[in-house]
Amino acid sequence: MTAALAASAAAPGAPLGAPLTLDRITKRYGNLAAVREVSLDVAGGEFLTLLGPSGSGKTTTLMIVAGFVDADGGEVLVGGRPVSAVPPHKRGLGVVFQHYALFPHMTVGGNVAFPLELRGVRGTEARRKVSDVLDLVRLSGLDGRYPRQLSGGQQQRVALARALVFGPPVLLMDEPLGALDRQLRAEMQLEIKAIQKRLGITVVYVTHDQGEALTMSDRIAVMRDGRIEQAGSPADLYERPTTPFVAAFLGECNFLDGRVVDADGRRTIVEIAHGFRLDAGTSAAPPGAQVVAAIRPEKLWFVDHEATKAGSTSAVDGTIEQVVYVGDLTRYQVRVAALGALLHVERQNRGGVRALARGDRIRLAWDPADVRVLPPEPPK
Amino acid sequence: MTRRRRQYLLLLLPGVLYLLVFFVYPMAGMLWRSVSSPSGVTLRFYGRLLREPVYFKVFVTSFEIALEVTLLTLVLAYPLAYFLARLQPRVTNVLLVMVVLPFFTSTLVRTYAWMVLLGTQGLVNQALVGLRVPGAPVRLLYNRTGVLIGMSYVLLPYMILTLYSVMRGIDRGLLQAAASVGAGPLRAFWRVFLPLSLPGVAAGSLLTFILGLGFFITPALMGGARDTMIAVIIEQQVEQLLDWQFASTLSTVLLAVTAVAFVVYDRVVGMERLFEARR
Repeated sequence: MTAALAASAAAPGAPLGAPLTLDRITKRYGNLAAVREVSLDVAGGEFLTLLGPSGSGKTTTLMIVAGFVDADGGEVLVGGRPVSAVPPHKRGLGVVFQHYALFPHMTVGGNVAFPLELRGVRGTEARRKVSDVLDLVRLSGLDGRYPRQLSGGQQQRVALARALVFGPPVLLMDEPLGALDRQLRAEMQLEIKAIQKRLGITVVYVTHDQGEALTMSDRIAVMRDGRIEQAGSPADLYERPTTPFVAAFLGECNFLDGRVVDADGRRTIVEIAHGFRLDAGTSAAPPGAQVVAAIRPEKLWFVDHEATKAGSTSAVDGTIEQVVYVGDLTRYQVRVAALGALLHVERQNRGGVRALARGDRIRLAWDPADVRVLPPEPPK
Repeated sequence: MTRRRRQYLLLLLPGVLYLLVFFVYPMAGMLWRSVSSPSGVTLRFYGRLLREPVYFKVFVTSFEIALEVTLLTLVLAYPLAYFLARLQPRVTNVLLVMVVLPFFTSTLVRTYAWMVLLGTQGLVNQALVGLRVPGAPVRLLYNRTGVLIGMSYVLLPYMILTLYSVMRGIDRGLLQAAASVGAGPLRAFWRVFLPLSLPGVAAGSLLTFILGLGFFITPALMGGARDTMIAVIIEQQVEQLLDWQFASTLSTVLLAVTAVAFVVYDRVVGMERLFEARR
């Protein structure tokens, strides 16, 4: 049934998902530049997420692709074809809106059949396609209900079914899970991902939830102030952020301001305030450059006081100032006098680990390769 | 009932008293007068209503005019309300004030103003004659045309406001959703906006119809002999023929007809909730 849906949507042999290209898209509202020269290549069948805080331009970018917002400059190409001059109803893209935008005067079946009706698909064929796609989103048998009779999660599925039923080459999703509770969100994330893989459709997904982006995406583009700050795979962005903004937006991070004193291409020495010299990973920053050294809380670990002098690890002494137990792990705040900083440390609550308490004096270690050397944030 | 509840109910007292004295009591008197005679209870006035076809005809005329006015205002108001609902709220507010502005003047004054405009020597006809329009001057007054122009003008704001309030509640995102699945502007309007605005059309039409049915000033001043509406006849019975009992009978029937229309209105407005767009 699902195969039938995929087959009916795509030309035989052709991949279902079309590539999408944004070429220097720009949008201004008065003096405010909402989107600035955004360029992006999305491969056919790729799941790309635009991630960013509110006001970063991610929804505007998506609406430009959908055709609901006219760009001031640049071009959008779907399957290699420029679409700037094409009105939204002729672009043939699937869109799932933030608040679903289901037609309240139509049943679930009516909502899902509407795109088919507009394409002249009627009768048995239309009924088969509607029931196929409702199977796909696991809403079989609810055709006769009205949207208001459905839960938020079910409405979300109807919106997805309506956007998929006509076999669009690209699916645009604008914070589709924003209105759902946490557990349902997690469930829907995996389900949407599974459907996307099964259909091979190209997805551009907008969210401000970093966990959602990491879970679902093949690639994430982090947006900030109308620009793409960094784009890459979830692991790329998390492990190798290129700016403090990206490091802080995806997960937690410790930042230490400093200056490069030595760099040999394999490792970098950063002098932190108080004269402490920190071993860090590779960096293109030349000696003398102002930088930010970044290390994630889970890359720091506690070691016995006397041990660890040798090898590739670095270590400092500190005092535990705060302990927050969150179930699977514990978060510590450790005052490190040598760095003049309060470091966040995360530790899994495995069996056999000694619990640490406030006021305990400990030693913190890390692998210099896990310390990222980032350019300082531009002053606001 | 708790003491607090009783105290709140006390707030209703002035209004209830007012209605009892000035509305319910006279209404009861009217109902009673329509079925009473010196020799006791009688249905003779209702019998007369059925026997003399002229009254039936007046009711039919009233219905016709109310219906025509309703359709006319609907056609005029729908595009305007659509336009208002699409504008920025700040601009809309200014325009809405302009829509209700006529309410600040009395209907009588406005009707006389129309008579000045529409008379054979009136502004409109002078313009038509000046432009050498064939057939000018046209009779725009003391006939059905005059009644329709005058009544539509007075009732238009009710229709606009009712339509506007429903249209403003329609989620614009639904039109984007319609476009996203392939509906052009016309199809999106026809299949999404129009059906969702129907509760407003129904409510506005019934409101206009009910108000139009009992209209007095405009048909009395701007209509001809053949456009006599029921309220005009009632006034004649009271003022000229001094037949209060038959006037009461006519009023009771008008009241009953209006009440039926109100029940329908309530049903339809109740349906509005059924169609309410979820956000």
